[in-house]
Amino acid sequence: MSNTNHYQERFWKELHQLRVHVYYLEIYYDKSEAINKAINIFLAITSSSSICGWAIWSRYNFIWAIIIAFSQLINAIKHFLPYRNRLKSIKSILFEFEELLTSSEMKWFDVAEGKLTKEEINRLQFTIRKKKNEIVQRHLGEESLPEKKHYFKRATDLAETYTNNFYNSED
Amino acid sequence: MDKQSKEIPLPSTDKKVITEEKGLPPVNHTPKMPPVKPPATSPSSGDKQSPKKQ
Repeated sequence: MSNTNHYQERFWKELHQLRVHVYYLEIYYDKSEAINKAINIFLAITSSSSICGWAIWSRYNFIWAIIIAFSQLINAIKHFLPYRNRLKSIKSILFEFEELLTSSEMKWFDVAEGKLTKEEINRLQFTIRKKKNEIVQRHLGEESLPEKKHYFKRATDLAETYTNNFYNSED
Repeated sequence: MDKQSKEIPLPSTDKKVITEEKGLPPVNHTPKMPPVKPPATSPSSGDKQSPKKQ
């Protein structure tokens, strides 16, 4: 890397990192929603009186008793399960990240075409980072977002495919 | 302005800031940057000519 395009390289990395994070949050959102939906379906089934009345349960009443006990447990703690809260936070972060990614990607043209000085490129890069931090802090607050390595691997692959397709960046 | 004054280093990437984006892991690998023109030497609104290639 020559010193001349050091700041462009950094901006490029920041842009790529933002894209990976957008994909990562999309995958995170989809998976959290799927888990939340599965829990709700399970609770709906176990609370259905018609299913409860199925003749099969008279033969396997022990299994049904376990299912009911489990569903009551889930019902009691479901408001404390992280998926519901995460869904709202991730959706809000994702929405703002996507806007930030679009505006940052538009600025890449000026960065790549040498229309901006090193100072301007540096300022742009730190603006992106600052905005990312603000968005995450605003929506996640005290909540945590446990790292999911397989989601992140998938997000990295998707972002690299996008970059190779649109920027012809072979690595 | 002489050439030396243009080479004043700007703040470097602060890795601590990246890790402060809690829950968002840093990216270890970035695809190669496509070819770019050298940065402008003076602030412009995009109507100035690019500097000479090195």
